[in-house]
Amino acid sequence: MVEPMEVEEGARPEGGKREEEGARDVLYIPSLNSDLTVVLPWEDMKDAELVVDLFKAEEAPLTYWIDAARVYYNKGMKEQYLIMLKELTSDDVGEHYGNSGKLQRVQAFCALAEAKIEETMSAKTPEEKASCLVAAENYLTSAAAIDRTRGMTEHWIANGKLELAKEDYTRAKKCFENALLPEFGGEVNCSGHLGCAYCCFRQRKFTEALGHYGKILRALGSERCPNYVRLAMAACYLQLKRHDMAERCYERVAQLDDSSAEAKAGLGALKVLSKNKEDLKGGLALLKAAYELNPHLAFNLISICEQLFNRGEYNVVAKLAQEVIESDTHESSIKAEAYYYLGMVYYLADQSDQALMCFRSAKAEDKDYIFPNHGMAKVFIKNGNVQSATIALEAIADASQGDLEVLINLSVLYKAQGEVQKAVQYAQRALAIDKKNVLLEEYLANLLAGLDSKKALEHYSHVMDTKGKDSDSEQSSLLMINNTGVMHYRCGHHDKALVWFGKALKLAENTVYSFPIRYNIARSHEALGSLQKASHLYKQLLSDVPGYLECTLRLAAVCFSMGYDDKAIKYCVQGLSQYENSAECLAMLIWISLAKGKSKDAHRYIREMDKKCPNEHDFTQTALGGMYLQAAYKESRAGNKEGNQKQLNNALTMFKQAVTTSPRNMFAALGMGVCLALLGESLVAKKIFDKILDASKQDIKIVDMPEAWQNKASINLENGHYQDAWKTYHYCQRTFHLQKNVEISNLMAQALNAAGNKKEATALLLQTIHHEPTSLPSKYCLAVVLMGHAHEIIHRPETMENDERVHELDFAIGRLELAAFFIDYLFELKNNKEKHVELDINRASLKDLKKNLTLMRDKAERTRRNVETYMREKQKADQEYEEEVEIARLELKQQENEERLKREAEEREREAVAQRNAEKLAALQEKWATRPGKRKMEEDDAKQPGGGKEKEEEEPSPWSTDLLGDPEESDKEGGDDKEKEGEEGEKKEKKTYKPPSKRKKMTLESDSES
Amino acid sequence: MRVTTLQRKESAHEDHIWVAKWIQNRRDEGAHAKDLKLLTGSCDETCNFWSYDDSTGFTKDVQSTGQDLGVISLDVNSAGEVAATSTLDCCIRLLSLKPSISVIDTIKLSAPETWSIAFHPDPSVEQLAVAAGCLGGLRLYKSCVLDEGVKREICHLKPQPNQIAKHNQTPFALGVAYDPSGTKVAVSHSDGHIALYDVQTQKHILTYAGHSKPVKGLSFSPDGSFLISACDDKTCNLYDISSKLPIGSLNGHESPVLCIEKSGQEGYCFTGSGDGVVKVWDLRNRSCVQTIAEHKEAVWSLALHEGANRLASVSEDKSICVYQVNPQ
Repeated sequence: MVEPMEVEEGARPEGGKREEEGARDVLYIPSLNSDLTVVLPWEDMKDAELVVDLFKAEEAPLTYWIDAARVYYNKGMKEQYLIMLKELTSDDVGEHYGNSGKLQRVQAFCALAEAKIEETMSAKTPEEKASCLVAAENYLTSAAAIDRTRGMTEHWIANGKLELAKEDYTRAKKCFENALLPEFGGEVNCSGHLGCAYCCFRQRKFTEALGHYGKILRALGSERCPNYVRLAMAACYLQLKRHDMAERCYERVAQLDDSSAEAKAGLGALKVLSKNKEDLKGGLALLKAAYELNPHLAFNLISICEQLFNRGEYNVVAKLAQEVIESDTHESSIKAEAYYYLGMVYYLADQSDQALMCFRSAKAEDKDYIFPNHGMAKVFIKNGNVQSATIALEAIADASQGDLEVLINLSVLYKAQGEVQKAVQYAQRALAIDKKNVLLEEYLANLLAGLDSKKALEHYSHVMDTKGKDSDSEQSSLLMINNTGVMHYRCGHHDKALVWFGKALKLAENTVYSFPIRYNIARSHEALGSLQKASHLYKQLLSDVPGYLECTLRLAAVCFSMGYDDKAIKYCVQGLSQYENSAECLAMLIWISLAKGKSKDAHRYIREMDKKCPNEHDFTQTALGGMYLQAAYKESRAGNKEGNQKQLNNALTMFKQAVTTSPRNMFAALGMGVCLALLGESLVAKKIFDKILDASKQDIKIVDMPEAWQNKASINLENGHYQDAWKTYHYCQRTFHLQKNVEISNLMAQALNAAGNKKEATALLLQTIHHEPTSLPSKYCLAVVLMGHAHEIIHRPETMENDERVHELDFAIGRLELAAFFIDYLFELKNNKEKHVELDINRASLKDLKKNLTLMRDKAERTRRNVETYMREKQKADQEYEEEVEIARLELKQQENEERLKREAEEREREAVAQRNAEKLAALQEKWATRPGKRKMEEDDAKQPGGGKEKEEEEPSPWSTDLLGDPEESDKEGGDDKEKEGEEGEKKEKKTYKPPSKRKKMTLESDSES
Repeated sequence: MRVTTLQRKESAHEDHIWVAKWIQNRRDEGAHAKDLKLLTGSCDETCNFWSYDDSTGFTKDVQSTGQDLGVISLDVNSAGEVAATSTLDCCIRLLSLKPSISVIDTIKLSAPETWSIAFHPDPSVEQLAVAAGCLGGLRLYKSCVLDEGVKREICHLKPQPNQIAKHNQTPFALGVAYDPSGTKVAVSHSDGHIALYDVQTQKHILTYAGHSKPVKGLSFSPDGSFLISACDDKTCNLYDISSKLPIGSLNGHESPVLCIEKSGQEGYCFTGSGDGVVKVWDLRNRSCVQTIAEHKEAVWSLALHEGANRLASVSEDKSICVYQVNPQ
């Protein structure tokens, strides 16, 4: 029986006070039917079963049970704690307490679940862990069964922990967030925030995690906030690379608790990162202090590992890493680091398998940790497994955007695998990060040298500008200068290349490097067309280095270009005697033989090559194909269709074989396309050319294939797509700088001609001939275009029959004469075997052209004659018409004169009548004035003032001239009438006058009539 | 020596301009830079006669049509009285310039047997040298008005047999130049060789080697002691008149050198190239002293007016440029 230590009156304290009491480590036991509560020290009540019996006997409310369980938990008496909880959750208790104990029973079930979850941490097997989780889940189900609302904080927290144990951080976070709802404590619910923060940390949402930790800090206050919250915050800040904030967290923890190993380890780890020696020293001291406080603190151990690894103390590193791995740290990133260091130690000890295992384990712990990939790549490289090393590094290339080492290593690895383009890409990415890295830029320039001379040149120039006079060694600057020259050469700046090679030679004088530089100088002279000089330099070089095969072959090529075929062959044979199975020598001999049309010799060398160089099958097949193709052209020129087809088929077979042997042999593919196009399979040929062009886009090494574009354009031309053909030729010219290429210009002119642009076609051909006067195909094309232009003029649909048309026809005839001139010239060349002109036009087509020309000339002249005849007749008709019009005009004039005379006569007669009347009147007036009655009348008038005159005025005298009428007026009226009559008469005459009708327009004789 | 650009005439022809010559009487010393006359020939099948003044630039006086298929070459005799054109229709047209422009004669050839042409430096000799095109070598013609029945051709000096044998084909004769004394004529060929002929004896004197690509332009130094070539290999070679190998070369053009013109001053020359650049060369140092990039396309011809110190360049870009030549 336990004696009571203290007896208090009334109920046990509630809420915060109870916790305080709990802290005082006492148990409260109420007494039945009384208000008394017995307070017992926990040391006296270590047996939970006894306490349970007491609770049962006294029918203690379940809150007392819970308090007791909490005391056991706080005191680390897990077993007693569990006994208490199990009793709490037993059916008997449930039945006895009914609804009044629901809350406590739910709490108990949740606590039991959490205990099971905790057990999973120490579970040794997955099965054990799974069974713990099942048990925890069952407890939580039971808790839910008691209260269907499931709306309890403890319930959500426990559920969250269960999900955490299952590593389902999303669901766990959801549970913790539910616990943070206002009805369950809201923002001040620290457990909820802790859970959320942990989930966020695991999900690498460090800022969000920091938010939750901050809320805990605010809720509890700076003083009461547990250290682990600040340590967790420091971990978040470290992940966010905010070392200053992390340091402040660690410092605060250290301030609050001087014995915190974590704080010391954190501060130490941050300080050792500093380049300052003092800081480094202080950091190491802190790490040491942390180690002394807690020799198993994983975080500290890892920091120490890093330091020791850098110092080369690999054995200690291995031990420490092992300890971290075996520790119960839940921080997988720390374990990953431990595995990495252990792996590196194994790698350095040449234990590749163990190293790889460690690196893989590190990745399993933390898949986002990139260092193990570095380690794996190192192991693979050591083992010669470049591909696996590349895969290992490529997996972290995007994650480590700014990691120069990864990018450079990847570039080097790809270079080692022959994937230069990828190597360039990674080197360019690395250079974008470290723009001032001269060595890296030089490495990139070297990579680009084989791919893009222009870009390589830019980088070389930049490197040399940066290095300036501070070049590290004479040899490196020599290589750089030589490479710059090579790039200039490849860009076609041969004169500039010569300058750079000259500089390089000065540096390399009397060294072995001088030989290749001298060779480069000779090549530049050769490219500049100074063949004499090139030949001289090659010979000099050969006298110093007799076995220089490239030099021998170039000398042969120069001799061949200068027309010394025999010497060229001699040098090839000389090369072959030095290097018996030299494919290059044989290839050169084949090329010379093919170029000279010596098919037999070419065939002999091809067979020799086939025999001696078994690895060059595709080359021999391509060469044979080329030979057959040449033979086909020859047959075509001779007009032998059958022979042409046969040779084309042979060539096609050879090219096909070559492509089968080496699918990347683009020359063979091109040959195939040409053969197919010539055999009429233009669609298939076009597909092949398209494929070649696609391949050239993908592989920069195959870019120099203008023939593919040219052939594609030719097929367009053949199929009547003239605009497309012209565009493709134009593109080919522009892209490959072939503006002065005679063949392409001729084809472009053909396309223009076919599209109806005769003037442009003529101008283009004239420009081509002006640039290349010896080009016979251009002259042939010009003849065709001139004929086409003339034809267009002659057959112009809207014809005008005038001088302009005659001029036009004269022009057409002139063009035909010029065409005839060139055709005659070409015909003469074709017939004259002495002139040794290889004209790629067969005689039949020239004959046809000549025949057409004659017909066209006849037609033009006939048309011109017709136009002239028409014009003559038209002129005659016009003349006749003019004459008739003149006659009519004269007749009219005569008629008018007659009428005028008539009018004048009439007028004169009227004037005479008027004169006579006037005279008569004068006589009558005189007579009237002298008669006797007149005086009396005058006197009467005088008596009546004003009357006489007025009357006289009112009553005109019967002799008034008015009666006779105003001769002028009468004339006028009469004149008007006459005028009117005249007008009418004229009108009548005009109406009746019909000028001679214009003759019907002349029509030219139709072609068929003519 | 420096040159400065004075005038530029855009769209002087409808197509590429291939050749230009000043009409000048070289006996009249101290000509002024006013009212100069320039003759240009183009791919547009015309010749234009221009009046030039430094202040007003170019004024077109006359256009001569009927230059079928374009004017490859033209020259004006040193009295400025007679001009000749060589066209792609394989005709040489002799034109009288005074008192007005009229055709003296047309020499019709049966094949592309003409390319560059040059008048004898002494106008009283009335002789025209023609690079014989596909026949190779040199043709000499009388350039005066002839009585009926008188043959115009003086002779055809064929290329050397070894030059034909080299490529098993007759090389195409491209450029032609009289030496200042008028006793020798040099003819350049498509295979790069240059042949020197004696006009009096009508014999081959020497063959200059050193180029393997077409040599399109030739020019003797004012004292006739050496010959300069303009070649498609982007270089110009300097030959001592008596030695068949070059004594030096002018490197610097980045495109084929298409034309060359001597300068009035000893020791300098001008060249034009396919990339539209005109260069001034110091022959003693074999170095380029000035590069002028007035043209956008190939410069096909350069013409120097010695009296007025004016240099004209014509180009594929259809423009004419005039520069003032400032001797040192």
